[in-house]
Amino acid sequence: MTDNPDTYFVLLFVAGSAVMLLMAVAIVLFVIFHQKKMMKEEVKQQRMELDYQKKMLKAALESQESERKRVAKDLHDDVGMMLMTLRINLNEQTPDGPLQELRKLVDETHESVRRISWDLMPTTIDNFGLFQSVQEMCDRLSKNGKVKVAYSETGQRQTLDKDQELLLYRIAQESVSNALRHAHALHIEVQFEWVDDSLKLSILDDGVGFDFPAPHDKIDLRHGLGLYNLENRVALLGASLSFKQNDPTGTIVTVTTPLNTHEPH
Amino acid sequence: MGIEVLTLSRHTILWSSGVVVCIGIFQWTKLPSSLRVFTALKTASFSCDLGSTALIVHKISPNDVGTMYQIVELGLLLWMYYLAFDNKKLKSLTIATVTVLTALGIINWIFIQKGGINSYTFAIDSLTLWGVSLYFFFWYAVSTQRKNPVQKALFWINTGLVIYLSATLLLFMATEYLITVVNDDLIAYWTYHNIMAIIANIFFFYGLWIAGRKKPDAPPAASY
Repeated sequence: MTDNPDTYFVLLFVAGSAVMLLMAVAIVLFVIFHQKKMMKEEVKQQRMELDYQKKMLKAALESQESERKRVAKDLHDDVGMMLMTLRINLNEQTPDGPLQELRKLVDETHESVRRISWDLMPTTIDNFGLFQSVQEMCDRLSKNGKVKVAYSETGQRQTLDKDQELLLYRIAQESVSNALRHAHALHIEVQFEWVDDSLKLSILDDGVGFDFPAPHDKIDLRHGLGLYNLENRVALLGASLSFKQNDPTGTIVTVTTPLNTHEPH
Repeated sequence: MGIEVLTLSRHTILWSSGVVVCIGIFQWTKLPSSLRVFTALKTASFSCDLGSTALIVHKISPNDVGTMYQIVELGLLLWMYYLAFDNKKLKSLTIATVTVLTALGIINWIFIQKGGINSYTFAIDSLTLWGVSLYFFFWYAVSTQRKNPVQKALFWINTGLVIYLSATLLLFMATEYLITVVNDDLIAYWTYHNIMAIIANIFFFYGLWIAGRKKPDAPPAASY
């Protein structure tokens, strides 16, 4: 080692530059790892928030279902029973008298109460399951002759849990209701298709169609309460929802539910 | 380390800058405004390197071209960072810094160091840019908009700048001492500088290359 000040300068320069270079590399690596760590934490937090929202949504829908059940039961058991009693009394007191119109009105009211009660909570879903209930809904809607609602099921049927059944029933009910009320459809088809490890529910109609959301759009209340509820139920099912133009007119709503990846509620 | 290595490194800088300019122009329509400014800067850099090489061939000092580029570089890089930070509050500070340092650079060029190596301008401008490039990383680390840094073009361009400036800052600060006191011919130091500039160009190339890549589509909102 020489005592030449130039040599010291060179050494100092090399050491200083090396330290600064290493610092620069360390800063770059720190930023990369820090950012990736923060991203992971953010994803974790988003997942937790999503789970929380899902739980809240599930609780809200459960509460709604429970309330529907209670109202349906009260309507059927109390109001229905009272109307039935009123009808019997009317028949006993004036079998062919001037109260014929009143009897007709009571009958109609009783039928309305039964229909509302059934819409709120079909008894068949508890007793006979989803497919029987949807079929029954289609038959009931076709009864008046104005619209034809067809039902079909293809593929090997698999077991669904009660929550899944109720959610799918509500989805079918909401979609059919939309087709009737908003699209003024005359022909509707409700199709269940079992494909390997998924269940595809399609609702096809020949109505006037509607401005359905684009595939990348998040459905919210701006799109209407019906669609929003549909989206929420699809989310709880862990399913996918798509809308398509039917040929020549109308809409096809498809809900594909994966069967093996369903999270228990 | 001889003059041949210095010449080779200078030519390598020239052609690597050319490649960076080509990718910047090729991706121009896909680039955000900050990277367009950077492409403009690299175009100026390539032109100056080309001019310097031509002057050296004709035995003319390229110092004036280097000084002019240094002054332009400061303005364009600070403009690039201003656009990247996207913070209107920094507008006045950026304009003031560019104005003051450009004025100092011109004064130094005309009255103080004149046609020699304008080491004062190099040192002050490099120190300023080094500080801003480090601040960029700090800003990036505390930013609430989380993005994978390895997918962000400006991250790699800033990485190139930080590495280049960190490695050459001491050289720029010591240039005057090396010339006047040590009486060094600076061949070894400029070769080292050129190697760092080539490394920086690799980062710049990568940054501009990923800037034009198609980002993956977001998953459909109606799917879960």
